[in-house]
Amino acid sequence: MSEKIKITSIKLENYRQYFGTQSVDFPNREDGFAAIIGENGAGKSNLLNAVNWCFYKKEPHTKKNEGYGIINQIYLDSLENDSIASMSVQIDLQKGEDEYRISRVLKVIKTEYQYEEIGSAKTLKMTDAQGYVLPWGCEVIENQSTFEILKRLKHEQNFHSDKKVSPNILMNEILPETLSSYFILDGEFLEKFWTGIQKVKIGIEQISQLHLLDQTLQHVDLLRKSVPQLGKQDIDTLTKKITLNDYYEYSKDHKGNDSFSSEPRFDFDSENDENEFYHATGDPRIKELELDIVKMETKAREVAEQFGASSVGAVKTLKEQYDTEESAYKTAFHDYQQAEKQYFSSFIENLPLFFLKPAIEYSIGIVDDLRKKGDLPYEAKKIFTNDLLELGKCICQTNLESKIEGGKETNPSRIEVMKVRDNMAEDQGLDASVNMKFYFEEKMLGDFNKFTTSSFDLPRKELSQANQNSLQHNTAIKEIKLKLQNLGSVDIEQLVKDHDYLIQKIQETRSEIKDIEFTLNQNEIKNREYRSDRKKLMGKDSKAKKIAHEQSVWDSVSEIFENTFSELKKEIRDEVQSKTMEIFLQTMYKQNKFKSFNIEPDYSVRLIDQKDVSILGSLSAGESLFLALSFISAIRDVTGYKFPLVIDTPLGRVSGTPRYLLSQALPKYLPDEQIIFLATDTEFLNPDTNVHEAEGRTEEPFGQLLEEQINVKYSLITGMENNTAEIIDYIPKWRKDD
Amino acid sequence: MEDNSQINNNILEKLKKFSKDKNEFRFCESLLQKELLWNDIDDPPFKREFPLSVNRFFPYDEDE
Repeated sequence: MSEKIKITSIKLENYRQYFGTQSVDFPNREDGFAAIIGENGAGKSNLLNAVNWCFYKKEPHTKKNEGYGIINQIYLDSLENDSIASMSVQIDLQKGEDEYRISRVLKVIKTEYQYEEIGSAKTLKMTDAQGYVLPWGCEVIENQSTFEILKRLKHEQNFHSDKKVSPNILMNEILPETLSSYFILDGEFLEKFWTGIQKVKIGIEQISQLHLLDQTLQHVDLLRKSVPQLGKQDIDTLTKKITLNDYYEYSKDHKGNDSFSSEPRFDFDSENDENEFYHATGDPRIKELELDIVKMETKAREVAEQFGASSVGAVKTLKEQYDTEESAYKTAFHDYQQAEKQYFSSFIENLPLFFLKPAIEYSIGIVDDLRKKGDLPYEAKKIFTNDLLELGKCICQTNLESKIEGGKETNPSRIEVMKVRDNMAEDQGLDASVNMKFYFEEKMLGDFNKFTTSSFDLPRKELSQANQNSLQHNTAIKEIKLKLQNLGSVDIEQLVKDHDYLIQKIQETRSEIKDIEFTLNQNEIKNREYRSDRKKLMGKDSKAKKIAHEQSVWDSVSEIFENTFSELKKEIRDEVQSKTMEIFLQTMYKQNKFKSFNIEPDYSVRLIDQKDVSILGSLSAGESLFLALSFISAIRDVTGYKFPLVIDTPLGRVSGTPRYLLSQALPKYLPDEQIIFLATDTEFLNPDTNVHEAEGRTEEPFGQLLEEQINVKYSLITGMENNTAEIIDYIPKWRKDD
Repeated sequence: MEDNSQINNNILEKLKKFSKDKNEFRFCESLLQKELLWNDIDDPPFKREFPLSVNRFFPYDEDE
């Protein structure tokens, strides 16, 4: 496994648009890079497909409705009906000192073509025959379609087959299919490398075979947990308790069937998500929540990208200012409304007093005059007259004694005083006037300046201040809104809301995962106790003894595998993260910009800069590509798979300065490994118009820049127009000019 | 194909480290070998095969 592998040649015979026999040889890394150049649609991706088809009978890079079949149409057209068509791909490899020839052949019986009319066009009728797109009626000859791997040892002349090992197993040893996408790379795979944890997880687990440990552990676990009911109540009760906790762990209902919640998955994608709703509990739910956190993070990043990476912070700050101002404005406006109410009520209440001041003063003067003349208030008069009548004598000594004759009072003086007393009840004017006098004196006349200040000036000032305060906050809000609008034509507020929602959702989901993990942990503690108790009981029962024996084996083995898995996973994570950083820094120009590369236990990744900020999401396309290549190199290095890298459309969206920097970095990348590029002429051969003279560099093509440091062997795919693609040697223009 | 040709040495070393004895290690290794062979199988026969391995490496002794 640790021996280096090189691809020495690829030979295609009538595969898709490649007509006849086409072959291309590849140099060792010591002799430089290999680059196969082809325009878009020329057949680069199908070359990648050819490698995959030869190795695994799969074509992962086939576009839907491509319109042509797996066998070259010109070739098929040239055959008589009922004759046998043959298509093949052959790849020669060198592994250490041994050579391998891997070839897959497809044989088909050609029958008479059928055509179908779509509108006015008449097209060849195609069909999906036994997994291959072929003209309708053509039939695959299974027993003549072969896959073989021949081997030639160092001193042998001819290739021979190893009959003891099936070619599929041998292929798996050379490069397992699950890992192939890390070696036979397409641009999209690299471009989206950091959009989720899956590529990191699979990369580490598959390449280091952690998945094998995990798979074995799962199987051991299932056996460990499948103790049958033994008809012994005490043992069976414990088994039931253990099973219930296991059901929680595996999200099963009481019958052992998969149990789902009614919550739909976040952004459900029928192609990638196995189920539309979350599992109810346990590990399956955690797994789905983790996958969806990645989706949420990707979405949050997309939202952030809509602002432009640099304006997100500004938008967030403005939004915070907006919220603060909006809240202050609400308070200020409320204060203004209160001040306004206060002002008007004071105005209404006190203005009449202000205008009636002379009249009030005049009325009070009259009251004071009356009081000066000895006029008394009603109550005092009443008490006084009653006292005189009771006493029977006036203060002027007049006799007021009662003198009754014939049932009637006859003392005229007493009768007079009694009349005065009785009439007084109808004359209380002075009392009210006196009260009024005191009221007005206290409220207004005592300190008239104070009255006017508190009744009119103060409420007016308060109202004016509240109004000004409210207007200030309103103006600030308008300015922030304007700034937000200037940051982009998109609905910034909505984007901020979406972003905040996603961040909150991520936090809630992480918190839920922690809760489930806590419950799982508690259940596991309980289950350990139950299992231990059950083991003791089973040891006493002859029928259960054999099962107990097997269980104790699974318990020990499970522990060994768990320890192996977790220790290995940590070691590999640590090793891959430091190796990735090392390779990344070796080849990157801005070494001081980056501080560390961390792979978390859940396989999420952080690239930290010198200010301790995570900057993975804001890397340039070139930096992101190189980080992915560094990661891939690290896992190769750590785990020992030494298959060459075949990279389709490596530059993708990388242009300008990052492209220039990549041309400087790539020659140093994996110095001992063979690297084959499949690239467009725009990527490799044409001047890069995005590089400006001002940056002190010329517009040299990428390939030419590479050649300043390393040799490149070029091949060119031609003849794409009529299904007669050929691969020919090519010499770039700049070499001819030299 | 050699027995261990496809199992990563790191895994084997760790299994050895955590196993109580050679027999336990060999047993774990045999389980991994089986898993390797079932790599492409949808429904691997571990329910039958694994207990057989238990019988081979840890035969049940009724008197124990």
